[in-house]
Amino acid sequence: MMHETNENHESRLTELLQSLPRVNAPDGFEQVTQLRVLLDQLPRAQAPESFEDDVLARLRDDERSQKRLRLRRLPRSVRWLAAGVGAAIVGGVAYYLATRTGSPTSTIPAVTTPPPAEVKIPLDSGAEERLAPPQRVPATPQRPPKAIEQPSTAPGKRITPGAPDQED
Amino acid sequence: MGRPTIDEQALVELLFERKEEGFRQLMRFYKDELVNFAYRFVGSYDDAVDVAQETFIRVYRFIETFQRGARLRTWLYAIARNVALSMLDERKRHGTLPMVEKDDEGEEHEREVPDLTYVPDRAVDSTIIAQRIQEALMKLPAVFREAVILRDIEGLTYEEIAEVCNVELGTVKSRINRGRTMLQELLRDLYEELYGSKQQ
Repeated sequence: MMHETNENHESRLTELLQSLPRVNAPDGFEQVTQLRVLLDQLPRAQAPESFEDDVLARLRDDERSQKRLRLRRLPRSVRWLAAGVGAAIVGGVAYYLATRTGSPTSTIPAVTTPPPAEVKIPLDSGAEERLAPPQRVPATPQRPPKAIEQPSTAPGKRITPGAPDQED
Repeated sequence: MGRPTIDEQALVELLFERKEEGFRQLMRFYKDELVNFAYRFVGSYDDAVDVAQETFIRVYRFIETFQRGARLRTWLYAIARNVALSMLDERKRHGTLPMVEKDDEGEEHEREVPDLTYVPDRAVDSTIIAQRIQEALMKLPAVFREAVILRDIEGLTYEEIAEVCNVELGTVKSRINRGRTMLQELLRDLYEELYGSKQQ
């Protein structure tokens, strides 16, 4: 009984399945398949040996140029400030070095000139005349050159440019 | 193919930490795939290598924008596609004027004037058949070309292609179908030589 029911079910299922509409291959199926076979058989292009190293090198170059670009994009005021600070540091270092090399004059031995000797002049009489040594006179400041007197432009005195001075 | 598997999650973590090892691992795993995609898309091996390198550089720069849980492979393809498209645009600017046309479904795309001087890279495509297929691929408009390459050469699913190209699933299917039809037309002579019968 049970066995019969099962058989009935199976045959109905088969009928149902067979009643389903048939789906056919579309037009040009073979050609498309042939085309796909051809495309599938195309040789594969491969990356060169140095591919990975080249990419990493390009990345490093990129990063470097990006840094440079970022610096260039800084606002003008910041760049001036940086330049000012840099100049101040350089100036400070230069000043420090200059003062360090210029100050220790005391270490240089002072040049001492011997005191002028007494001068003896033999005289005909056999005696000697002694001259006192010349006194050291502190250097006097040089007087400024005398101002050139401007020719008087007083009335009555005629000046002719280029002509010799006329004595009054 | 005996391609090694990759723990994408672990790799993504390494990339987020900007570890060089993670980056090298990513390149080792995907470089050939991306170079091949780019070569078939832009048609020059040197440019393809450049596209792939630029892709990895952008990954390194913009890894923060990658959403954890998203598919790394489709993200890589999306970047590579953008880089390749920029390169093609650059070429066009120095070459022919773009002509916009509409297809049967009203979708606008640029009609590309085929480059008659184009020669496939013989180091890659050493056989005549491969060269003729590559030449035919380069004659397809970019939107159809990328769809066919991603599906039939790189083996991406329709969903993945929709993600890569940022379009609807329906658009992907239609582009693939149209691309294949155009390619068949372009390869009609080759079909005759290979299979001996006239194609419809």
